[in-house]
Amino acid sequence: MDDVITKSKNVTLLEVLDRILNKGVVISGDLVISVADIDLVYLGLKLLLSSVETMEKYRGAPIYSPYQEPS
Amino acid sequence: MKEYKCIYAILDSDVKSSDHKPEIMGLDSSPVYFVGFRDISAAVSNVNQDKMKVSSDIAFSYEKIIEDLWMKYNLLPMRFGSVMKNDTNVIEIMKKNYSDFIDNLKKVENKSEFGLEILCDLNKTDFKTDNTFNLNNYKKLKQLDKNSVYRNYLIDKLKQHKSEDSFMKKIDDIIEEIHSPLKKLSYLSNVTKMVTTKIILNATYLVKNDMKDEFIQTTQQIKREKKDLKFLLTGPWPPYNFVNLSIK
Repeated sequence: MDDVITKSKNVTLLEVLDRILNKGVVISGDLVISVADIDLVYLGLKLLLSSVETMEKYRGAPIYSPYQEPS
Repeated sequence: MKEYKCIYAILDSDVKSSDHKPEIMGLDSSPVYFVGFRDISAAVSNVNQDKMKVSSDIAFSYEKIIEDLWMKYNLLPMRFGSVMKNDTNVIEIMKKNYSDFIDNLKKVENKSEFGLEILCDLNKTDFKTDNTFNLNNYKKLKQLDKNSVYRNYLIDKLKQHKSEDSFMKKIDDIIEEIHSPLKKLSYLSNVTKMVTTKIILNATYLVKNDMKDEFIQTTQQIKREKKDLKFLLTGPWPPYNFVNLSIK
């Protein structure tokens, strides 16, 4: 059963980032919220970009098409 | 040093911090504790700054905290970076959004999320699309002078359009063959087709816990039938993609 579940760390990192940064309950308004300060944005983006770049090579460039269904 | 409160999740239980042993460690090495309002709670921990930093290690740590909580409680994951000034603000959030939290908690109760990406190398895969082109179907075009550049141009464009159309229909059929049985096994699903030139399907499924094994087995069965495609199935996850809440 397990062989269909991916174990790749790169893929999992992207899956984790996609979920924790883009999904879940989001607070809006005048509360104290932010994601990373300047230095850490740089560090974070560097990590993110290298992962995304690696995966994009494998997965292909994004395309924008009329075939996308609303989620 | 000033302390802030990082919120990890909203739980459908009135959890007492003293009852929760062993402690789950939050970010900044502070234990997770629980702030209650009526019959729900927020899992929070003290953090040193209101601006959350993100790296791969922190991302994995944050996700693990939510996973650890999810092993024990039905919950709504909070987006990374949800930081508040104090516990009073956290209670205020639960008070203002109580009914939305309850509705979403009911929706995701006893369910897990799975992510599925289907990758395909279009250059290597033979989809056996129908590329036949019959000029007799285009009477006006056929009447044009055979040496006309417009005629040749239009024929080329029509052939290209027909080929693309046939290809997309084939992709749609493949997606339907994969998605349809999985949709039947899930409570909710989100689907995006042709995310990139190689990802032909990106889907998330909310699956009842007693259907998880069947869902994985069915995916495995489909994978065996589609040898040209690469399957990336991840999960079970807490229900990140099925919590549709922007709160104040």
